[in-house]
Amino acid sequence: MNHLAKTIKTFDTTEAPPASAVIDFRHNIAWIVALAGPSIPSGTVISVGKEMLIGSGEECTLRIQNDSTVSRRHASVFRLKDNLYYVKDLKATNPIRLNNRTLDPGELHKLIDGDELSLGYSVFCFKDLV
Amino acid sequence: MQMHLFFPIIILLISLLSVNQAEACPRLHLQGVLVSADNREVTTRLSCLREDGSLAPAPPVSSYTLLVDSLAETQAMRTSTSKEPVDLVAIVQVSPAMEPALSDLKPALHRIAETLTEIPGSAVSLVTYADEPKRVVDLGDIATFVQALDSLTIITDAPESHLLRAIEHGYNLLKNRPLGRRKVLLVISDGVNADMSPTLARRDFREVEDRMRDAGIIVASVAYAPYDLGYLRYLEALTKATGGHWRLAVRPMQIESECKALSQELKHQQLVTFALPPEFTAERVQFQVTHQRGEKTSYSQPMHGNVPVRPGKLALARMAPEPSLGRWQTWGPFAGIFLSIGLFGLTHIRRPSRGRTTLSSEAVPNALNQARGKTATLHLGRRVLAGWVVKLDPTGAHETLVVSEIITLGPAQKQLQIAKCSDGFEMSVLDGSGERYRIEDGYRFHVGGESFKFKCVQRG
Repeated sequence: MNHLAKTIKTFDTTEAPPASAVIDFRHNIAWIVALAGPSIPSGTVISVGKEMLIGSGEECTLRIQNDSTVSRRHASVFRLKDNLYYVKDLKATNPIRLNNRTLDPGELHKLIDGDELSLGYSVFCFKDLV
Repeated sequence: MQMHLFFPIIILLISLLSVNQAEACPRLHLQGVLVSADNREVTTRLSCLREDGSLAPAPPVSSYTLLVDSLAETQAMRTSTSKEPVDLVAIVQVSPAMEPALSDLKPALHRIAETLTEIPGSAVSLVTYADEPKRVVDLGDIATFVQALDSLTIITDAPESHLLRAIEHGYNLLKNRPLGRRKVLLVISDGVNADMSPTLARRDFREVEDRMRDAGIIVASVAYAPYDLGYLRYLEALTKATGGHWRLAVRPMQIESECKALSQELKHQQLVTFALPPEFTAERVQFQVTHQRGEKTSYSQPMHGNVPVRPGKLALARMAPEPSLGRWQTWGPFAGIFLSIGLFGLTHIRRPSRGRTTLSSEAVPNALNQARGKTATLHLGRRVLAGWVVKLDPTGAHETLVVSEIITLGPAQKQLQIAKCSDGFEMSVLDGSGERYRIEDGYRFHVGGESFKFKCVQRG
């Protein structure tokens, strides 16, 4: 913690706090980071935007190929009016696992920073700004 | 004369092309991983199958690659046909639903027994189930198993079938079998599981699946589904998750052909050995085998395994002499100094020229992955997967800057850099002071009148 405090001091004492220091975090954004899987190299960062459709179909924002256990439309990650992100199981053949807990078909679940999502053989980490 | 030579050449070319076709291996089944700490080797048990489930000829050793955590790649060193004995537990549904298939079941199981006699040291057991599982033959002699097949009958008064209970029974028979044997649970069933609601069944199948994988048991299923495939989803998921091949018989006569294909798979299973990449130690890592055929690549399903620490590293990590470590007692401290110097060099020399990468609503692969297979990166302690800086905007139009290796932020007089190092991210101020700080996920800072937030993903 000490080294972090020192860093902040280095930058903040030499200039006035910028106007942009007060950020309205109602504008949340989120990312999906590939951790493992046959299709997307681990470490790939993908911006979620307002909604992201995940599956093997061509219409998906995040397309997982080379994995027969992933359905064409497998899951959806989206932001609701409460500015938080949610994942929904789109009743795929194989279930989604969120932090090693299996989601029920059609279940909606809130996502928090660091959550691990498993779809078939692919594992992703959810990260958000807030 | 020329025409005389022309036809043999054409025939030769066609035969060469057909050989290449035969070597194609669209489905790769990884059915076991053994990590040898002493030799730094990974031996994988693989089956190469065609799209129709039949056995493909063994591809050349050079076509295999091992991915460790989807990151490091190593080429295969050698392959051989597995001579490991098989422990096979056949779980056969004998409820009235299987009555049309009974006459085809017996020769199918006979065929498997015949194959097992060709693999020395193999053992087999027969468990039938309708309402409750019943062990007809204990795990052991193949001749007893063959005799028992003659008395296989349908239980006509069974009210409902309990597949999961039978699978649990098979698991208990196989879980304590010694290492170095192939543990196979053959399930011949229509997939109906009357135990509980679909939601609970899903959870319980998952739980069994985890235990199967931990015990190294492969589930090989021959599903008999003349009418409804919907009941088979949990059995299919369990089969695929354990590395087994999913075989579907819509007609009773297909059961025998599917069991024949399974026998061939057991008989000709390959052991492919790879050198373990040097950077992986003492971690639970994910292995995946790929097979290159022309421009197409087949991937096996991933499988997890533990990579033990090397004796030398153990000595350095503990900082205390171990009685069995021999010469490391003397040379350990010196090796530690050299290793530290090497690490320092690697983390500081590998940085490319300064650059700035912008990402907005599209995937940007990490530079580490772009260079996959070309550069070796040392991963000691936590492994860095991805890091990015968010330029915060009051209007909500935040901009994302991915730290592929190094990025520079701020105006010319007051710049700072964020760089990826071996086990995390460092921020340095370019004002001549040489100050450096380790930064973590969520770290917020201001530079040049703008606010930024740092985000990263690390494992380990």
